[in-house]
Amino acid sequence: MPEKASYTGIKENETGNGVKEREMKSLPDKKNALPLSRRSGAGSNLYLGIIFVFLYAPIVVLIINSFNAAKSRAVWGGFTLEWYRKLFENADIIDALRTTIIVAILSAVIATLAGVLSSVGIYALPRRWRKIMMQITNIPNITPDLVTGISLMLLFYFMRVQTGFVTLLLAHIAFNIPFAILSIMPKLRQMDMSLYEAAQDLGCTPAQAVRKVMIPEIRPGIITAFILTLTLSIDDFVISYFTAGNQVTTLALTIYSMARKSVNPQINALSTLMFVTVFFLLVIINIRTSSKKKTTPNGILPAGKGNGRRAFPWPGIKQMK
Amino acid sequence: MKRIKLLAVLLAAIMVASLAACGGSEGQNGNEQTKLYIYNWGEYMSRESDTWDFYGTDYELSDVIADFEDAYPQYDVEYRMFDDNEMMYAQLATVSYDVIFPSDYMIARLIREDKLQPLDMEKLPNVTEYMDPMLKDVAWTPDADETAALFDYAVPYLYCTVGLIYNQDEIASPATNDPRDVWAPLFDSANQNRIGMYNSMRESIGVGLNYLGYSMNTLNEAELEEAMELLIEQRQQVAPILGIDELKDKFVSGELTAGVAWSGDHVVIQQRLQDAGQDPEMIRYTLPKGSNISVDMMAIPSSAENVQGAHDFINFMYETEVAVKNAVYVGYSSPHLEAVAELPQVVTGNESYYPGPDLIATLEPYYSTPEIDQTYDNLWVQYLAN
Repeated sequence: MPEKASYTGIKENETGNGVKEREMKSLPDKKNALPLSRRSGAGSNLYLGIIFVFLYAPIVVLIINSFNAAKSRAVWGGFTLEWYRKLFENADIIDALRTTIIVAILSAVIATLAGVLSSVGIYALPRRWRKIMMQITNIPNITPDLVTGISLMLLFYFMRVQTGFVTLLLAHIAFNIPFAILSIMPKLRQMDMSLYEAAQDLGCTPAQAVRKVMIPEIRPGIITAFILTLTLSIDDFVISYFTAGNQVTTLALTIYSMARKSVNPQINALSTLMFVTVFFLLVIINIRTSSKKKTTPNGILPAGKGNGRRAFPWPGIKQMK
Repeated sequence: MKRIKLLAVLLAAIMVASLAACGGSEGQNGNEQTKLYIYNWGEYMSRESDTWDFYGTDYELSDVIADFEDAYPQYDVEYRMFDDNEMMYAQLATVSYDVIFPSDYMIARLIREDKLQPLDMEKLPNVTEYMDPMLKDVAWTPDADETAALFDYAVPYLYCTVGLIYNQDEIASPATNDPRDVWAPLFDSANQNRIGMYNSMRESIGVGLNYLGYSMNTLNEAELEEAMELLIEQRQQVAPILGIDELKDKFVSGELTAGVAWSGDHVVIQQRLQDAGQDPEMIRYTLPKGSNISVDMMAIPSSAENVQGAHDFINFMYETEVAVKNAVYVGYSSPHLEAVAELPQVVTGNESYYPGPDLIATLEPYYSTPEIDQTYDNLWVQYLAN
């Protein structure tokens, strides 16, 4: 099989049945070929280790403290599961958690959907209009949360809409959509438009072409958008404060309200559970995607970076196609 | 991607369903229930069933909101929490609550702006019977009429004082309760890096003023100047650690020798020391003359919808067992006469938590007028910037 290694690192293969196949190589094989080679020395591993310690040390402390019988963070009072037991009996916190999760998932799904449709639409606009639309989309991103929260509160007040679950959900969707669009647009820009046109040439209607060709191409962007909006929604305090009213409360509101006295140790237990859940979800997702990536049914390797190496599914780092 | 999303949503749905099953079930009965919205500070009411060892005596705590709903089944209580008077004030503009728990200066402001409705004392027999009249003697506002009017609109819930908290093993107890003696360790450079000051405008500047013998509400420029110089000197020579909640743990772990604290904080610290198996008497609390006293009171906003329910709730909070439970859980001082009788003597006999009439006459609340707020705000910003 003739291999033509060009300096851009793209190999063109000819398979047995004469179909030329392009395989994107992530990095050339020769060491020292490029300045930033993948030589993993002890230095870079140490650096990586330090970063992970920084990220995860507070969480590890939190997890350890959730089993601490003493209420103080300073001393160890013995191992206990008391905080977990009390957590499940605490109506306030469970209520807040339920609201938080429902709002987070709903707003993430709706915002991602709206984000996909908006991105595809914005991408199809003429250049000048696209730039204007992107500027408009960015305005909610850079507006401080406080301004967004108060203006939404005033809006609902003027429209005589009572603040509650619906207003909370609407507010979350409102601040999530720009982030969803921001996550999906880059993938659209990277996408090869000729695929879309080729699909139409082969008989797809435009809608089918979008659904069967474009969406799978921008799939990583959609997943990023979903995860980002989910996290932003769970994390949000200021906007939730002004739009939740007296009907519902979220986890962030409950935790912040403990600032004057001291954070109830049950929150440590709750945070541990949330972290462990997210951790396992991500591990599962990463294992699934990296095992699916091996080969397609035809035995042809799908195009993708670094397909030969199967990297360890570090939590939180997605193997992007 | 679809399957992953489905998986995630399914997992979440299972989690939510399991949460819905355990805990969090409100008392459903077929009768007509009216909603009652309570807006309180976070962690400021007994909400869990537990046996607490409070200074050697065991107290059975329970969820007082659940108890209230049992006693008054016609009410369905929604309990919301805040952490700051100003944020509560902002919420009141657009959201209706039935009972709120502002601090003294915020109540004065709300009354001035007609945001509270007067209480019907006929519906609050427990308050009339059990409320400690001593709190009425404190000059809560500069205007005597306003102070008297305060108690027509609100009822005290818990009060606290600001004082010196110190490690007995490292610092000798103050000789008298004169502010000069009491606050001295905070400004002593021998205690460098081991002092904790509150990251709060009024507490920090107030301590400086009190130490110099001035009123904590003064607008006299010379006095304020002197206090600021003192604080800046303290920062340079003593390097205090600024914080609020974090300071408690630092006292428990022994990192700090002395600091400013609320009386309730000291109770919490002693309980934590006890939990950890250490001697709670290691950390002590002294209230100097002229220091701050503040009270959190229950009031009914004018936009409240369930006024009858609000009165019933306030009356219920003044049931003896309920007041005891709240005082034990929160750790602050209770204005309920019978509850005080049931709390441990070591707490209620301590003048620093429950000051007698002589000491109370010297204590000052923080006045909050636009002038004072602005002046102190500027000073605090200057202090933080230097």
